[in-house]
Amino acid sequence: MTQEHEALISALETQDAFKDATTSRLLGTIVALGGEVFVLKAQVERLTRALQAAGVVDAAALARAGEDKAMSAWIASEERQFGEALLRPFLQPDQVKNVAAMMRDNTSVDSAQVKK
Amino acid sequence: MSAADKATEPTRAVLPFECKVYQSYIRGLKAWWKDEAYRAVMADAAPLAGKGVAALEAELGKVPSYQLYGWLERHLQQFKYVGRWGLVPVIAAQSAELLPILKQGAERFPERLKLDPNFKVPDYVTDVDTHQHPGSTWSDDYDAFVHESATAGFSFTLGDSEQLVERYARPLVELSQPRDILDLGCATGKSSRALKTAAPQANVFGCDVSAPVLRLAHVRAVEEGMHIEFSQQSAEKLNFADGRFDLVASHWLYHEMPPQAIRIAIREARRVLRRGGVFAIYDMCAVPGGVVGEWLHAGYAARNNEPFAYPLVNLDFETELRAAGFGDVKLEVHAPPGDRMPASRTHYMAMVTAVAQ
Ligand SMILES: C[S@@+](CC[C@H](N)C(=O)[O-])C[C@H]1O[C@@H](n2cnc3c(N)ncnc32)[C@H](O)[C@@H]1O
Repeated sequence: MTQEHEALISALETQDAFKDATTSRLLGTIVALGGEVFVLKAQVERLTRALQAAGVVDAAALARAGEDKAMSAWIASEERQFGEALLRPFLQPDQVKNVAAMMRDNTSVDSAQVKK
Repeated sequence: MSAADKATEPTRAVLPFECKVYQSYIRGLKAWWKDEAYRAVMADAAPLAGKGVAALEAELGKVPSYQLYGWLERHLQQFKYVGRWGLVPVIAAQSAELLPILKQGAERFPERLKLDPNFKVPDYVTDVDTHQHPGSTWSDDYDAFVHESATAGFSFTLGDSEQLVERYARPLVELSQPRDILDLGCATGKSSRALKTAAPQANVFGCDVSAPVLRLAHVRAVEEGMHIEFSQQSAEKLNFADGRFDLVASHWLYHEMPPQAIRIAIREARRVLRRGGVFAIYDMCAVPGGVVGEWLHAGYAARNNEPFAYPLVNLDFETELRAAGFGDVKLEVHAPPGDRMPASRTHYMAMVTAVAQ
């Protein structure tokens, strides 16, 4: 085994992808996930309670709906979009233009106002 | 319960709604990983391609695209197996229903299933937790159902029985016109059934080191009305006479074996083949994309607990096969030619064939 391969394998041995600088990006993803899941759980809980209280569904009806073809189609389309929504923020953590440089630009900022 | 009801009872693990949705969620993230995260890594790696694999790992290790890519590659697979609705806890909880399927299955045509209670599963299998499946396929009987569910939606020929016949089995059958076929590392027998479908007149034998998957392979073959004989044996030491087969095939076996074991298995395959018989290896024997491809493949091998997939691509099959008594060695890679990388992350497979001299 060459030194180069040995160095590669040693690096891979740790299998710890994240170094400190990116923790905030990861947190973005985790929070996005937490938000999606929490909202979804609350919606499902609310809907289930309302429907059960009205006598509209019982456990068997819910199980049947879970096996429904249209439900499977919904899941198939949702799975991709959900993945995209969760992970996009990691690679593009800031979707809005950074205008900090303009603070130095006297033509676009009223320097007199800034100084005040 | 009537006899008719019994006949239609499911013989597979039944994934509850939550598990299916959870697995779907993981698939969604994986889809994003293999397209978007992969492409971001490719873009970041391109300027460093001339630097070699160790430098790529060191430099890209500091870059968010690769950090995310690596994290997802390792952890999504773990979620799939051991997350809250992962396949292992969900299917383990069904042991009471699933294990009788294997037990009763073994009572039908028992002469077609040969398990060896004294068989020692090689350390290179028991030490690895292959594919990050804890206990892999060999430790518990329910793991056979986990393996079956886990590979059901798998890319390439492994998941699609039609493609498995057309792209893998039929070309091999046309090449070797076999009367007797051995499928090495048959797992739950998908590849064995594909070979039997492509060559219905042939006698098909499947072997694996793992008893649970062999039990399930037997159940599935009997269910499909296929006469296939399964036995617990290592590809390194086969309990078949010299010159017994016209075709010895393996579908995704060798990336799970270390190079020393592969060398022994190649010689053993030659021993059980007739002169003129065909030996076929379908596996990740070559990677596209030059240094970048090699580097990403190394990462995959480490992160997905398939350590021997890495040395596999550096194995000189031509030399090994010739030294073992084969000729007419051919290697066909299912990947973009030259140094180009595929547009999204995929398993780049190769078919190696050789003829026993
Ligand atoms: C990815 S699975 C094979 C899939 C299978 N051929 C199919 O098409 O579904 C790899 C299998 O190789 C088996 N294996 C590993 N080392 C082996 C050896 N030395 N001899 C035979 N089988 C082995 C493992 O137990 C595992 O079931």
